[in-house]
Amino acid sequence: MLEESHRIKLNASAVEVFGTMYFTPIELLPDLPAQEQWNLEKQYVRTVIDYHGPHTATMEFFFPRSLAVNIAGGFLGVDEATLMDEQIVDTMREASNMIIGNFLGSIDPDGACKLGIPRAELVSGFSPADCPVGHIVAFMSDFGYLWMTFD
Amino acid sequence: MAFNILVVDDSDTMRAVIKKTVGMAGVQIGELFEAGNGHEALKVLEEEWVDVVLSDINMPEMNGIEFLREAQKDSVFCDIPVIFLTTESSQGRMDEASALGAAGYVKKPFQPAQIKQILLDILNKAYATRMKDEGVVDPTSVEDDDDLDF
Repeated sequence: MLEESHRIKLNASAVEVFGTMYFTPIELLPDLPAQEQWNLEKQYVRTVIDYHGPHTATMEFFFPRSLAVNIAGGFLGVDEATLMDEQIVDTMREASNMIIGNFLGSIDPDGACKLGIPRAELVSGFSPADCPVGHIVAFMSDFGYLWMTFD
Repeated sequence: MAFNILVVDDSDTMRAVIKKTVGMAGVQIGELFEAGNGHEALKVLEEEWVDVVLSDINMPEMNGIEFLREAQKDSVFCDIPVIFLTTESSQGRMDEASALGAAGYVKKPFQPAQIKQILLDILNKAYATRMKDEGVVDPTSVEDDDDLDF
């Protein structure tokens, strides 16, 4: 389970990143939405980023493609129809980097932890049901749920 | 007077956005160079004149801190101001960068106005130094045209 103080800081970091860089509102939900509300997409951008030190964790994000396309198009200032998959994936990779980098800064003010290099790819067939209970959270956005798992 | 700027970031999209932001910052730009990590940045410095570097920290192969450390060993590169634009926002990391000689630090996510302000500050100093070296008594500063439109 994500402890409450970390949940608040993670939410603050995600809200700051999405609000400042992407002008997209987002909010970490206190509980997982009911399964009938998942509205899963065919394709997600999966990003993975870890950090090591006094705090150690691996975080995995699943951005629904519609959210990723909207964010990448706005961020780069280009028509969504002209976006290439590489641009979409790279934008989400950087978004994860910023969310977790800022989150880490808030829980590790001395900078003792080392942030890893994020990785990202397009995936199909993601389902929150495949993730261990208590190790997944959801952010609400205008383009569906952004899912995040952690170990 | 135009300034050459090097943007160092492993994200293509972030480099594109930083370049766009710099282009709209109201300073005269000569060349805008790009590098995907510290190694590539050092290569650019070896081949091109660069007035200021905007660099990420968390990059593969050679990160921003390692890049700055290497640049500081060179008698020419050590005078080039390096501004970090980074997600690594802990006070400890900022102190480390400052102790190594970083000219400034902007946390990602950033507002375009923050990039503009720090660039103007740094380039004003660089301009004054360059004018002093050339014997100009009263240099005018790098202009802030306050025309930042995002």
